[in-house]
Amino acid sequence: MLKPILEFIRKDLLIFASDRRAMMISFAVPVVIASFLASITGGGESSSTNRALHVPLLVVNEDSAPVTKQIIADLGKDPSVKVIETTAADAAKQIKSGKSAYAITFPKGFGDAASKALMGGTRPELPSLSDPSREMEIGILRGVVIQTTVRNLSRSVFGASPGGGQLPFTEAKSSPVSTDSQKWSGKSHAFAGMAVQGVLFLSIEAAMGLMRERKQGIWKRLRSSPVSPGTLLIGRWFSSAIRALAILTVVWGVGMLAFQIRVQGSGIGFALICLSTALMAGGFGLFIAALGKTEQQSRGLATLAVLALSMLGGAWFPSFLMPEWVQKTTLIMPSRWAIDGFDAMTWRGNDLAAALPITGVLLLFAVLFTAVAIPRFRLESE
Amino acid sequence: MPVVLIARGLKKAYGDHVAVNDVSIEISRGESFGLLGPNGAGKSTTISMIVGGLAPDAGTVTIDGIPISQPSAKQKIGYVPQELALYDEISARDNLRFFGALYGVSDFDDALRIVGLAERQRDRVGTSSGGMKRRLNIAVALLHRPELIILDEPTVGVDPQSRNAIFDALESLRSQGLTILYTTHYMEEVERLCSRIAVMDHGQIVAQGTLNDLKNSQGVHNGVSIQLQSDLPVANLPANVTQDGVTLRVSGAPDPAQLSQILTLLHIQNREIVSINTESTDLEDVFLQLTGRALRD
Repeated sequence: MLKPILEFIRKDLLIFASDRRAMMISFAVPVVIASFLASITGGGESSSTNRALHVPLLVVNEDSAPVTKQIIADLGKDPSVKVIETTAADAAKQIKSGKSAYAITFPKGFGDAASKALMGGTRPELPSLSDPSREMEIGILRGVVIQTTVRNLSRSVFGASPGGGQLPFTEAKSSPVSTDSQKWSGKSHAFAGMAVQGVLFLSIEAAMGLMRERKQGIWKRLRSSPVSPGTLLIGRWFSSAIRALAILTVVWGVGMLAFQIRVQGSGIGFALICLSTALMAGGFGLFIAALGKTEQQSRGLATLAVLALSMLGGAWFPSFLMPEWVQKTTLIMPSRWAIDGFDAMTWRGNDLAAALPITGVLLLFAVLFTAVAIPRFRLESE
Repeated sequence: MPVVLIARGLKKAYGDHVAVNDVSIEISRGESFGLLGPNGAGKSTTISMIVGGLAPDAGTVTIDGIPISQPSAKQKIGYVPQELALYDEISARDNLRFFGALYGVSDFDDALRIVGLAERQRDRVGTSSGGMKRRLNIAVALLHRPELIILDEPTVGVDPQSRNAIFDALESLRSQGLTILYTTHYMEEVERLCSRIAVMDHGQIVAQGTLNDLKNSQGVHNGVSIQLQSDLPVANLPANVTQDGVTLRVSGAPDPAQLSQILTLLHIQNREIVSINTESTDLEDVFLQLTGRALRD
């Protein structure tokens, strides 16, 4: 079984390399677009979001004081905030993975200590966690938190709104996202997005190649050989994945050399995301070929699908800029997972543990696409 | 001779259209069997089912008693599709290497030599002539030295020189004892290559046998006609000779001994001969008789 698969890969790579111009275009298009996007982000540091309503605010409450409970209740009434009470560990995890921008922790004794601070006592700390890439959200949430906290503390002590003066607590800001003052990098994201878009477009070409084989009678000849259709398709899957891996290598290589993009997180995790993305793209190619009837019709539909997957998956602009419902629904798209995975391993600086579930999901997509394709090819020959 | 291929009751329908209906074929080892029929007769569909590329709605196919769905049965056949089922982007050698790997074969020099492509093996297939591609198409099927080679219209669109090269190769293979199943709508190819023929039309086999069997079954014969100077009756003619005015017709394949006897008889009876012509019938006539239409309709 291994020999035919290896020969399948060799043959496909020879075919891929036979048209040097087409091969160069496959590599150059994602590199050029990513470079362009990286350039126009002006160094790529710092971005903002523009969501004013129901911005998620993670709240960790370790305090039992009535005033603290009142602060949290009032935060929940603010139209610009959606309070989600959680634990400290979960808050850190959600911010690190990019699911939330800001978390606030009311430590034990905060309510009493802050109330006393209004009368001249020691000011307690109000710890917060944030994702530096989401300055606009942080600004909104921080403002609402300070306003609501001070208002409630003043009411509980003086029975009225505060006048002026200093805050009755000190802010203790930190971020689990970066380890090296890392911030949102438009450059990294541009290369992540275009790398994923590039391999998805490559998978269209792989699908068209398979459809041409069917039209030319090659598939019929292959089916008359002693090798099973499953082996033939696995060979095609792997050969497509290797080509996708080559594109990812070139795109990221250019990004690292020309734009100083760095894998701030786990190197192994980054490699796993590359590998699983390539396998996903290989499976996607089989999926297109299995569903398509004619080459022209399939090319049009597949191009539309890849553009939608790229755009909604966050290849063109970050998914966190999209409405909440879009962010949730796009989790069914492999492109979203692949781009988030690359973001996580590059500018977010996440560790291997963060890469593993993303790798798992991408592999699941790869297996699903291939599992749908193989029976359809078998049925076709029956 | 042991039977290599047995296809029984093959049927394939696409919706309401029955492409192949109850087709049965048996081919013995070393035999060259022709499947003749016009375009759309169902030949390629039948072949697709025989090689295991298409599952029949009904019927079975075995190679040496092994169902065609088994890899060991597929290992015994070499299939030449009607299309040029090759990768244009790579060389002939790389094509052979790839297809050979599917059969566990890494030596393909023999196949290249048989079809006369040994010197052009490193050329990219896309830059080769149509005839060379056709020959390579055949070489791929010969890679693993199959017991049965199945060729589906392998000479479509081929120039006469390449067609001759292909036929030389096939005749050489036949003389080496390879079993051949050959489909075509060119009757002269079947007449040249095949010892037994099945005529197919509208998805069914309408006649099967040797060329002579088919001719005899349809009452069409070869013969010789002799034009005389006068219509005076000729006495003592053999039973297979009839006279119609000035024309004598000798039915059956020309027999030199009998012709000599007839000419002597005419000389003795002072009958002057104007001309002698052979009249041959071919598969076209047989097909016309069987189906009521010409083979290339």
